[in-house]
Amino acid sequence: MNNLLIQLTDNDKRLIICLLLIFILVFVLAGFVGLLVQKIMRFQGKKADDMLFNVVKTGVITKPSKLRSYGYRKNVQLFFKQAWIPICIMLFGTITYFICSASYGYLINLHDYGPSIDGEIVTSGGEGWTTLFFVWDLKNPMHGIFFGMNIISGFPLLSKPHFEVVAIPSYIFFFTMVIGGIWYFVAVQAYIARGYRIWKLSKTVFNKSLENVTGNDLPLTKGGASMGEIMKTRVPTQEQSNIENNNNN
Amino acid sequence: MTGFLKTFGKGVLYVVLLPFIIAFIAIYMVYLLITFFVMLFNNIIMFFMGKSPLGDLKEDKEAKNIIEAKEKAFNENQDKQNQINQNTTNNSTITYNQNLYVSPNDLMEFFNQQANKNNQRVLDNQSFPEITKEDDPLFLESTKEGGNDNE
Repeated sequence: MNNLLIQLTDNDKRLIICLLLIFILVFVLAGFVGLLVQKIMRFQGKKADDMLFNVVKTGVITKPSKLRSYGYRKNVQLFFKQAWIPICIMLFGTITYFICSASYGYLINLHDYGPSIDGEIVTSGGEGWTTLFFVWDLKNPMHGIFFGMNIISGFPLLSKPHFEVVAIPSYIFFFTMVIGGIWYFVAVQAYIARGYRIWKLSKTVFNKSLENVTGNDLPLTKGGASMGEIMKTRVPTQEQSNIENNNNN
Repeated sequence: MTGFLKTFGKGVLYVVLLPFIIAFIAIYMVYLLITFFVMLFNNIIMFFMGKSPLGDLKEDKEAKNIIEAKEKAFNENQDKQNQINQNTTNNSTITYNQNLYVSPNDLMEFFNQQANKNNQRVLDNQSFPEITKEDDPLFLESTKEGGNDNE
């Protein structure tokens, strides 16, 4: 290990420090993304409170198991309302793809970026959505020597973005799938967040606690007012005010 | 620094758990897709049977009825109160609204305890004038004697 460190040049050391910093930053970024997702899910879960408020407040539901069952049914209903648009979008894309495939007479290849020419980057042809993006040959990576080790250093480029009219059905399919998919994913995430919130509420809403109850909150006599209530509601007369003032003095 | 390290730690945790989270969400996505189509067919059948597919549940209806009944009672009470206030204003009488009646005995007991603690004079019954039914405007209204005070 010591020999390896001695062999390293200043540039190598700088590179290692840079890589380490990038490594740390990636994990910190992942942490922030996780926190963001948590916050979003907490916000989505608040919808469960709206759904359950009336039935709990009016006393229609008084048991945790009933609350969970009711919450599940309401949650599925809400999911249905939220998910039908993205599902319709995805169905539209799929149907368009199959209709166009039928009109072409064969099933359109969604990953076709163009004719394969050795050593040349493709800039025309192709009927798949990949024509809109850079395509790298992941099967044949390039290798390089790094600190005496032979590691992957890159991938050869196969295609550059270019527009093709014959690929329009693929584009429609791709974009509807991406938009509908993300929308559907958010709906599923909201469903999970609400489900968790319902489960959590069912554990706490019907809890009875004597944690903050003191003698002041108990009635003086059977069925009578408590000392706390008396203190809140009394209207002192002149004589009582004088006595209280004397007490204070 | 602690916050930064915490975020870093959480980041490591999320990256390690990411495959499981993705698998969990993927399972839910498939399950909910099936649920969606089952519900869709169910709703179509319900629609042709003349029922509302995404309408209120039984519990919702019960809660709605309770809320409506309470609102109705509140409005009626409010109307009654407004009528009483109007009558008493028209007759130039002093209105006195007391919604929470506290027993004078309770009050006296409380003050006597306080007075005993501080070695002060104990209050007698005259310190707490009794609230009679004649002082209550609701009672006056119900017996149609509200406007007779000045006569």
